[in-house]
Amino acid sequence: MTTTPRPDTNQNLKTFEKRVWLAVILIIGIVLMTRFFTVKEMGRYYAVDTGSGLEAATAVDKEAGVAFVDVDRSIGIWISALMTIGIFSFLYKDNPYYKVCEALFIGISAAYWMVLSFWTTIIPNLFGKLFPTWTQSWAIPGLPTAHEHDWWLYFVPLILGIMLLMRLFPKYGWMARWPLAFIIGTTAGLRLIGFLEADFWGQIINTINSFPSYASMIEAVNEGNYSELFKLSNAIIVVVSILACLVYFFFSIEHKGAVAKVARLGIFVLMVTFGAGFGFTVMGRIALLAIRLEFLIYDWLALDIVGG
Amino acid sequence: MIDFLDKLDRRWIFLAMGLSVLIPILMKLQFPETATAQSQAVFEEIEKLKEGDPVLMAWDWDPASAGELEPMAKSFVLHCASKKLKMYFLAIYPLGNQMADNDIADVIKVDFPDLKYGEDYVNLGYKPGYEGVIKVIVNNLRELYPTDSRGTNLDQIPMCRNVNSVQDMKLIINVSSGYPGIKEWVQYASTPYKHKFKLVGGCTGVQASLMYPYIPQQLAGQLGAIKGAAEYESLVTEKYDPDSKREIYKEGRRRMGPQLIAHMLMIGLIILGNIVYFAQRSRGAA
Amino acid sequence: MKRTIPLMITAVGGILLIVATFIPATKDWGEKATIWFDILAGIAFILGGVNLLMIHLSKVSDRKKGWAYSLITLLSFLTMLFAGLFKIGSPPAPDQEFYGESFAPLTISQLPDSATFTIPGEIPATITDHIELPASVRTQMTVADGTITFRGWMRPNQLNDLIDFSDNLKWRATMEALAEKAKPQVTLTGSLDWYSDHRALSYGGVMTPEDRTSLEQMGSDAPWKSAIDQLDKLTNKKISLNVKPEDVPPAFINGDKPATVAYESSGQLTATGDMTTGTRDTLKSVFPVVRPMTPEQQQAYWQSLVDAGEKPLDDDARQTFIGILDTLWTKQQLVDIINAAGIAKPGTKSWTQLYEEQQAGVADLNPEIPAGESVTLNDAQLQAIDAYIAAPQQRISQLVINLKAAGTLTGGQQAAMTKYLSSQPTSGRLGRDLTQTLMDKNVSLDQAQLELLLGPYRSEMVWARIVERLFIASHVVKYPYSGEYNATGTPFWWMYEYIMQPLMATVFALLAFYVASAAFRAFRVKNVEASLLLGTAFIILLGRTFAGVWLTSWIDPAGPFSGFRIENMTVWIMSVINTAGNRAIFIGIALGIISTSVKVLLGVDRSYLGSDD
Repeated sequence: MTTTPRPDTNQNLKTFEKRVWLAVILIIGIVLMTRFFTVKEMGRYYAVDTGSGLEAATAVDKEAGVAFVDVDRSIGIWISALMTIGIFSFLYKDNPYYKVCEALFIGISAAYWMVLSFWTTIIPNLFGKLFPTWTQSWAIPGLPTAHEHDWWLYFVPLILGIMLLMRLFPKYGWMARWPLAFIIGTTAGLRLIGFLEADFWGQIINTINSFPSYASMIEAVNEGNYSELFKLSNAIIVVVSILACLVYFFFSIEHKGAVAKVARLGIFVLMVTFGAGFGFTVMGRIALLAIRLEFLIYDWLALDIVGG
Repeated sequence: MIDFLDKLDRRWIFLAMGLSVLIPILMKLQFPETATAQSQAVFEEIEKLKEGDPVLMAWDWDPASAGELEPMAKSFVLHCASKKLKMYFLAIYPLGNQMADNDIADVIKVDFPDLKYGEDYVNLGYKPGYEGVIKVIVNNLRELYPTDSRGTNLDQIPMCRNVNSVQDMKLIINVSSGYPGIKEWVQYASTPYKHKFKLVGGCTGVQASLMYPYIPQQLAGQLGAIKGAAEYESLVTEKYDPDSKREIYKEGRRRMGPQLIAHMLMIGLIILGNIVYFAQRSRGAA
Repeated sequence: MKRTIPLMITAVGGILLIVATFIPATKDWGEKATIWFDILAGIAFILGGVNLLMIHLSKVSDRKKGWAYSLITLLSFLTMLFAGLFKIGSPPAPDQEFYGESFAPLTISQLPDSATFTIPGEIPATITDHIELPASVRTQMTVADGTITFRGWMRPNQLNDLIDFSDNLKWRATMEALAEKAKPQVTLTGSLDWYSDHRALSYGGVMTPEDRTSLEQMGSDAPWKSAIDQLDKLTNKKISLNVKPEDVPPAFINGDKPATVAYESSGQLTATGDMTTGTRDTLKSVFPVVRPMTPEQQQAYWQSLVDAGEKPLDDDARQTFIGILDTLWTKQQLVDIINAAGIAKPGTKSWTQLYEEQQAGVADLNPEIPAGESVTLNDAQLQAIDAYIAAPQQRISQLVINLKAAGTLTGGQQAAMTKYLSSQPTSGRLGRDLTQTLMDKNVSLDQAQLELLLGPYRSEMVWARIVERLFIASHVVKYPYSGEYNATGTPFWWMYEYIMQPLMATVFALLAFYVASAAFRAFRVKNVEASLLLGTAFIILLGRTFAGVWLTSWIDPAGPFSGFRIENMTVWIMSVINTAGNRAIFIGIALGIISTSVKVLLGVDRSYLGSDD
């Protein structure tokens, strides 16, 4: 029989947990500050002014006395470390520290895309085509100022763009349908051709091309070399596997009898495919974690435990 | 024990994963890497090029995948700069432009200071439009790129004067972390123009297994995840920079140390999870 | 109506792209549609950002739950947006600042008549009407009634564009002749220019009173006079920096200084007018190049390092040290470079010469002019090089004078020699390289020894910074907003590098933990399919690391069971089964995309239009 903990026990546990965390954070803080003041590399970005900009200082620069601690970038390293730990703190439990990091990420990345789009597309590719002289006079001095042939056609994406922005106003939101329709239409057109050529027709051609020629097989066998036969057997396995998978995907007919057996073979092939995909995915994820930990260890804490 | 494992708080698993990556990093665990056929194919494709050949460096990745892609990106730049190829950087992935700037600063400016911007390498920058960008620039580069990322008119950049489209390139090297990326370059560049140029690429683990159907006809070779990066890195540094002390050319191999331990952990967790499952199943049956 | 037009737009947009793939005549329209799509994709980012702003603003104003976080989002959004849109702290684009030239606004119509040049000629008949003149000359050049008119002065890139415009010899010869005509008077050539794209009159260097008089004689209109006035003020403006006298190298004080830079021993460094990048680079490279050393000199240098400090240095260190000194340039290398540059190469006839030959009836036009005689260094010049090597403080410019006095030195030889010597290390760079190599070999040096090696390096770095400060201070910025929005060092860059990038990377790094948790909790071998999946995963997980390779390394790679070596199994799984599975998935997806696209284009699927309102 289980008993429900009394509410004040839960409260006590939470208070205790908060106090433990506070103590842990305090201790870690003291350790970090001690290390910061004793180890000159920790949490500091050493830069050298080469005369054409700041670069990371090497050990030689430090010995030569031309390196200095760049305050902006050093603060940046600390902020990065705190952001990294903030995100990792979510693994323990959702907490305000993580939420602050998340809020910062959302705000900064949204602004980043806006600025990116403004300076890489709207200015050079829209205003630069419609009003090249004006754009050249302040934003892109290298832009040719002569209007292109049919330059006036660029008023179409300008108008469509303004209509797209009308989505922000409920009263005029219906205007956004036209540019959205254009985007959907062009995407559909682009994708149709791309997938037809590369993913449909291209794959059929690749499968056929993977078969070795009869002449090369005979020649290889005559030389006592069975690699071409191996290639042939692999090609046959590929064809059979592809057909089996396609039978499995065909849900318009009932998977019974022989169709069921072939479909099951298809499932087996797909399972091996997904297993391979999983293996590669794991590798990818671990590498992402490795680079963040490397940053914390080498760039922030300047830990350099010798080994390996 | 079985009950304990069954009710195990996942945060202990998180801790185990964290330690399995942290400890090899602290110990700088590293293992020898031998190149597999794919990495060799990518290496050979670039080796075939001659000094002065134009290469499009399509940098379609961001910091989120730097763990896997940064080592291969730097190795690509090292390889191309060592062979004195003409490098044209561009991006159709939003932060790729920034990654290209970083690689230019870390590799070309430090180890190849004689290479000149505008004569040996150029950064054309990023354009939004996903595969739409590829569709345009395979026929007409200047329609979307009237200037480089610094705002200089392409006609004033010596290495861009005679380049009208991507078809003027001998090879496309794509480093890709998602969409748009290597798949789009296959679909809209190397498939329709297979006789004009070849495409090689490096991609994340998530994408790597999905790109095999394109090899070798549409994609001459690919570097899959950090393993591919480590193999290619060892091929390039062995030939072009064997005595280098620079850590940036050893990142791929360095990151393989944690891979081994973490993979062992993954296998152990799967086996353990299944032991718990089977034990509970037999308990339930009993 | 509200839905009909969007449906038609969808159909037209998509079908146009499909048709453009197959019918070359419509390729331009397909390209236009794709470019418009790219522009709208960019505008969609703005829509997203403003939408976010509105959502969080309403959350804050209504004090909804979590409004404090929304406030953080808003503030960070607005800060980043402001920093990026206004390019706060971004230096102007170096390639567009025309360092060394001063600009005064002047439009094409304000150019004086003396800057208008005409020549008889016409566009070749092979160029069809819709092909326009090259963009670089379009605003300055007109062709009408058998006369070509060019306003302003032709630059080399414009001439190149005009030559490339047509391969007709008569046209090319005409353009050459026009370029020869369209130059400022001799005293102003190289200083005076007019840029059509910038609508600016440019003057490079410091305007002398004689040049000013020449310019005033060229035109009398008010805008022209005002431009000259402005250029005179800008080019004669003096900028001074106070520097510590000990930071100014003796080589600069005692050597020839550029005409536009002056130094007073009190520590005032003054630049007149806009400094060119050439002057800046000349100033930075005042330090003499290290001369090749004899073995005795190398040993003496090594000994001075040993004697300078108290730390003992072993023979390994000595060998490393001498090894670096052995890589310094040699007299023979320099002589070979100069002689190689003196090898006569065939010249190229001008287009005018070729055209004249064509008119004279020469059938087989040969653009090549036979190579003349090669020029090699004579004994006196070799002695001049010896004297240069023996005099560490002698500048490259003095060597050029000495070589010309002792014999023939072609322009190509001078350029090759200057380029070669300028790329050789100075004392500072040599010291830095020596220190770096010794450190790499774990040779420990004490402070005095480091000072011997790195003292010159420090001096060079300090001087480079001073020169750069003077260079920036002397320059009048022409395009303050031309720099990159994400230039290194700007607030925008800082927020991206130290907040956005680590956050993005760490969010994705969390996935590693969740994959581990999923592996423990969810991957159950419940049936054959699951065991196939997990079995393959095990092989791949092992095979992609050293452990897997080691586990099956005992299997003979040439034997009948070599296929069971894990690396071979991995390759087979990936290139056969994985390829087959993914191919089938691709084909399935492709068919799905094709059918969805057709449904969308034909208006069967209208879900993207939303509900009727």
